[in-house]
Amino acid sequence: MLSIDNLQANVEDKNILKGLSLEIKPGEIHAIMGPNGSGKSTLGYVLSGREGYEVTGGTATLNGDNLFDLEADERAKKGLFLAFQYPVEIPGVSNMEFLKASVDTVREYQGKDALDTVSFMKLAREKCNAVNLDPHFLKRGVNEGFSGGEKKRNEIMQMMLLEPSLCILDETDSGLDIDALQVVADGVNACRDPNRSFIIVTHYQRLLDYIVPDKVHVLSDGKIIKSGGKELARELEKKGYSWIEKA
Amino acid sequence: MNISLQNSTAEFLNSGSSISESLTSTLEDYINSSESTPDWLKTLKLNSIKSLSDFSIPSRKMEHWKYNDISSVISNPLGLKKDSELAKQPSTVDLNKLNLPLMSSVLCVFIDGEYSEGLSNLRQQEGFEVTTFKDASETQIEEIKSSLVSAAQQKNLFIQINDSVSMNGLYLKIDANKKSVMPIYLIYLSTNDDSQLTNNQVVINCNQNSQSCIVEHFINLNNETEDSSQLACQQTILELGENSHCDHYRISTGSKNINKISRLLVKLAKDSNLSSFHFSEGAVLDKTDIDVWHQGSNSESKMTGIYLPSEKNQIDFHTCVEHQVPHCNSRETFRGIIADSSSATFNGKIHIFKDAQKSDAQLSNKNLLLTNQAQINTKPELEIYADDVVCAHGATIAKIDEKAVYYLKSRGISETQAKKMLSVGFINELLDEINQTELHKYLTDKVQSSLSNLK
Repeated sequence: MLSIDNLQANVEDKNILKGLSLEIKPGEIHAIMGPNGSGKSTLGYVLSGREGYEVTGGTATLNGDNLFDLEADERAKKGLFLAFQYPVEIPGVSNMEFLKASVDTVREYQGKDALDTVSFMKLAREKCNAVNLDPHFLKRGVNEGFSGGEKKRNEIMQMMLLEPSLCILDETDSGLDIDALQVVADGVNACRDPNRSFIIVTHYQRLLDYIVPDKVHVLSDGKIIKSGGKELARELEKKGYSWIEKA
Repeated sequence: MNISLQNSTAEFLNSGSSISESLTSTLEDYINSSESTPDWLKTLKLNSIKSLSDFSIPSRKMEHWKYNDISSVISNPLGLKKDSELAKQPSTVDLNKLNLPLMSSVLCVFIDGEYSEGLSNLRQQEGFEVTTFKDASETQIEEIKSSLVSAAQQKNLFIQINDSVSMNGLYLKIDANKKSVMPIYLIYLSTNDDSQLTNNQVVINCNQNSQSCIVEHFINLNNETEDSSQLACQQTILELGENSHCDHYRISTGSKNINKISRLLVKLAKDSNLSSFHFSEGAVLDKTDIDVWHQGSNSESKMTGIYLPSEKNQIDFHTCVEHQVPHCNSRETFRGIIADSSSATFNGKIHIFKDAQKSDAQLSNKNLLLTNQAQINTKPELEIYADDVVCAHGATIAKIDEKAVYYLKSRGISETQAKKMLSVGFINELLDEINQTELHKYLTDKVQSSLSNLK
């Protein structure tokens, strides 16, 4: 599914990722943990193609396509999805209009049938209910005036609509109360599929109680310094990161 | 007949020179030689010509013209057709081919300033009167005279010339208590392909307790020619009687290669309510002066504007909202998306008179620049002489938010489409204020097509 080899990347000429390698097979859930400033969010941005995040070495392929040859929108069409830590507010563009444009483009690219407006609205309302978001949010501007939790649920809803093959969740649990965390986790679990993989970037082990990962990686100073099973997350929660970094 | 404001470009650069006597006498001859103009109108016009001596030739040193390039207007002699020639113009225009909205409403059509009875259609509606100035009755003449005389202004030479030479005028009167449902659609067509000065004046009188919808639409039909020295001048005087409501629109489309200088004056009496929507796609120069005079207490005005210049076009809005009496309320919101190497000027002034206590006035202007060559000059102004008022004004200039573009791209939307969505999103809120469904659709489509060249 996703194959990252010796990835190095700069942000504003500062070297953030320093040789990161990661292999994710279809259907797997990988958690990435690590201290602040270790490059977790940068990984998400580099993979999704944000401008200003410059790849200086290494490769990343998604289902055989070299990601760095593609524009951000082309990566999305090929099935990459990033749930943002801080989703952008876009007043004036309605959530519905945005979702329809997005789903239309991606479905067309993937050769799926176009959805007419009525069936799309039905589907969007369904997904809203799935993440416990009132359907009137569809009429509002994209993320405009949404609370932190509503923004995160809006991200998960988009993920459900776009049916991506690789989902990267960038600290989706941060700022969520326990109920919202449960909703987000249920949303992710509902999306689990033998052909869909997840990268879950998080600070806390708590989310991983709800979404059980196949592997846990510790990212520190731009590199993965330790990988293990789900029990690694628990160990980190107890001991912090310093015991690995010192080792 | 030709009139020339300037004999040479060199003189234009010298700026500020006064109006020559030969121009004044040329215009006087023009008025006197008109066969079909009634005497009262001639007298009025000859009087107006006298005021021309108060004006100077516009130059960039004058605040009102600081950001306008009017060289194409001022350096060429402009032709002024005799009214007898204008009246003879064949009306080969087929309105049905123009894909206009509101075609089943009351239509008042003008070709190069002259009212065309053939193309107009009054739908046998009751509750309003329509007459050209020339055919006005005794009562109507008095009403027209009073409106024109009180509309005098000192800023814009071309509007003054328009006032001096325009013998093509239309008077529209909405009867008191009339709750008209059908919009009245005034269509100003420009068809000339040579260096012509065309003129038109419209006086609209909404009598007390009336409700009306007035749509003014400027369209240039001659978009083939490269010539850009044509100048269309127009002035509308809209008077709202006590407790009258007017839903007003003034839009300009397809005028890329002409110059248009126009003015709207609205006078609001006690308890009256104006909603005025402005839309322009730009022209070589599209300059609009808007004066809103709150003359009766408790009157309300809401002005909304969208401007979308592209290529090398210029759009200029000079608005002035005067709170002359206490307890009035005004809201003004203009937004522009400036593309290519076009430029826009927005100068919005709120003027609160000394006795106009409890005035509530707000003005906002926001601009989106799409390229590094696009230019906006915005200047909100407050002039307040009363001490118990609420006034707010503000202006912003921004580029498209790259973070938002990335967000949309990360969802599969192409960069071009993302920028288009964000641009439309910037003005969507204002478009939604259009109450006329057909017009809303028409202008939404115009916005879409004018942003279709976005890269």
